[in-house]
Amino acid sequence: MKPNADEILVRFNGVNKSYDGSNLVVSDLNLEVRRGEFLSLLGASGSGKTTTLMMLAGFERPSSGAIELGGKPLDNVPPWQRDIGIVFQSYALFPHMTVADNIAFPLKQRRRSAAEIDERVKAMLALVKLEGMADRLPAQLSGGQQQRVALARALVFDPALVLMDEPLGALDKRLREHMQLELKRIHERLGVTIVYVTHDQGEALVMSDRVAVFAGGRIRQLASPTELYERPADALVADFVGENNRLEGKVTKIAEGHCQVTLGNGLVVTAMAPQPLDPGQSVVLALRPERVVVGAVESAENHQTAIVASVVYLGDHARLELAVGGLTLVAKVPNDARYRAPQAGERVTIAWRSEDCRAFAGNDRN
Amino acid sequence: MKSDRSVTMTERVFDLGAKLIAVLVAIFLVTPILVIFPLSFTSDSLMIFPLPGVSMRWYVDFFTNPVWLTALRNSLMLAVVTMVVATVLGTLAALGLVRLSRGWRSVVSTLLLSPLIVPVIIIGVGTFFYFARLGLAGSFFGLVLAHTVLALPLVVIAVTATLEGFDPNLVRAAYASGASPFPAFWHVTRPLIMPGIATGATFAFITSFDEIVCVIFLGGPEFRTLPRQIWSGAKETVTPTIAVAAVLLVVASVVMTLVVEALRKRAQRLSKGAAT
Repeated sequence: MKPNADEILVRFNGVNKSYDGSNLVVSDLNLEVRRGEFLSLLGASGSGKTTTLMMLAGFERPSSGAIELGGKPLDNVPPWQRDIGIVFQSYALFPHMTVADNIAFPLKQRRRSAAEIDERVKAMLALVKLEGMADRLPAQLSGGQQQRVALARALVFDPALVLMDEPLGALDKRLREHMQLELKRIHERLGVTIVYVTHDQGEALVMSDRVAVFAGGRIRQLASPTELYERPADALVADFVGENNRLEGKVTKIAEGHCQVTLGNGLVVTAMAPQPLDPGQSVVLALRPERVVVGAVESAENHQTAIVASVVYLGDHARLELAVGGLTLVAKVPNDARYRAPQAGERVTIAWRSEDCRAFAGNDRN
Repeated sequence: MKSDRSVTMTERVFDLGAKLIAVLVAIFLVTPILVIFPLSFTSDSLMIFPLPGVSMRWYVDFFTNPVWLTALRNSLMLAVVTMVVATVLGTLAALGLVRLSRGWRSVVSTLLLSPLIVPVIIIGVGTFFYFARLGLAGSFFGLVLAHTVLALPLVVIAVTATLEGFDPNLVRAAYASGASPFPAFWHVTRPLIMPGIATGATFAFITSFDEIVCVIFLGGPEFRTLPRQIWSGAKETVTPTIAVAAVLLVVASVVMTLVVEALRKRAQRLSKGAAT
């Protein structure tokens, strides 16, 4: 389903950015952000995701190309006139102002009435669950609480768009997971459009409506979390999102969407071929560890015999390293009532369906 | 055992020696300043030890003598105006300086700080001939300009130091909140770098308050400041009133330095708290 033009809030048109005039940090970026969606920009450091966010915020200028917000070009609009809320990784709370003054700051800049400011600040404190903290200074708050104040300050003036630059990066794991759900709740409640930068794929999958995977200044895939995980567009996306077994080989046969691949150790497997491939071409196979079935015989196209090299017990599942004719495969097996995880050294049968194994042209190892 | 002991002995001697030297240096530095204090309370009209008696008569003389009062007023006026001009310009310069690229930054800051290195007498002579041509020699305004040149580097150093620990994302957060550059500076940057500005302003004030070389070159014969009056007093009519004037200069400097130190400590507490 193609979104209507009026549903598009932000549009990047062929945007390039270079700091030194020769190396492109962002190259030929075309991206549309839909009104009301939670879009994550996911990538390693140096992939161009933060630069993209900074251009949208107005702190960096594109070297060429155009960015539109609500159908209007942003070229000559300074950051303070863009009406975009921003949550920084370092929170960037004003240390000399109380929590209430921090949240009130954007409204004061907009010369709202004292009564309105008072009411909005109260509503925001309730939204981020910080009632009773209004008169504290940022230094008197925990990291998680400071994060909530930063969020409230970015939301208080009802911006059409809120940008977040790794806002949960400084929090510990448990708090981070809690805040992810909080952010999702706030997004659903307010219906605000959020563009969220992160290098944490798990975080991107949990919160986003869509995820743009960045690498080398380009978007490698823009899709829903399910799509991204189930049908990665290339080997890099498969590696970056979730855990992945990476097998290298050569195409020996092709038949309507499927192909037969001979691996380096001589094993022959069948796989899905989402991209057009030629016989003889080097390919990379991507296979999710949880799709490798261990011990049970199923009607799967790929059967192999393997030796269990190691077993790591992880509570709800066990992680196996399997030696298959000189290759190592990782498999995750569930820890449930009907199933016994094999022991290290055991010889087992493993199987996977060809739909769960995807072949990609092997020249883009980066 | 024996060698062990001799090591500790050597250490002790060195430790004691270092302390002794530190105390001697402190005495060397402070005595000339402290000597003037008892002399200002002498009851005699000669500045000699031992004091024949203690009295406040020279303080009364200072605060009733129109020559000294005019000098005090001139000094204060000159120092306050210099402080305002140097603080505003120096703060702006520091704000601009931290935005420059590394190369340009070192060039411009060397230029800005050069008055600290150039001998004051050179600045005095140079500005005298230059200002004479412009008709500024002998004017209050010309003197303010010359003192600003001397005070500006101190403001730049003090403000740059506080700006270095300043999170640039705070300004971006202010922009994102809808504040354009001036309100962002006024509500966010200024309050946070205030300790640096105050330190710079104090040093600017003190620099101008006790400066004499430029005053002699540019001040004109009628314009007398405290240092100049002390100087001519010491040459012509030596009375303990000049000791009183000197004490006032010292006390003003000490008080202002203490105020700055207190401000700095308070700011440190604030930023330490923010870091956790």
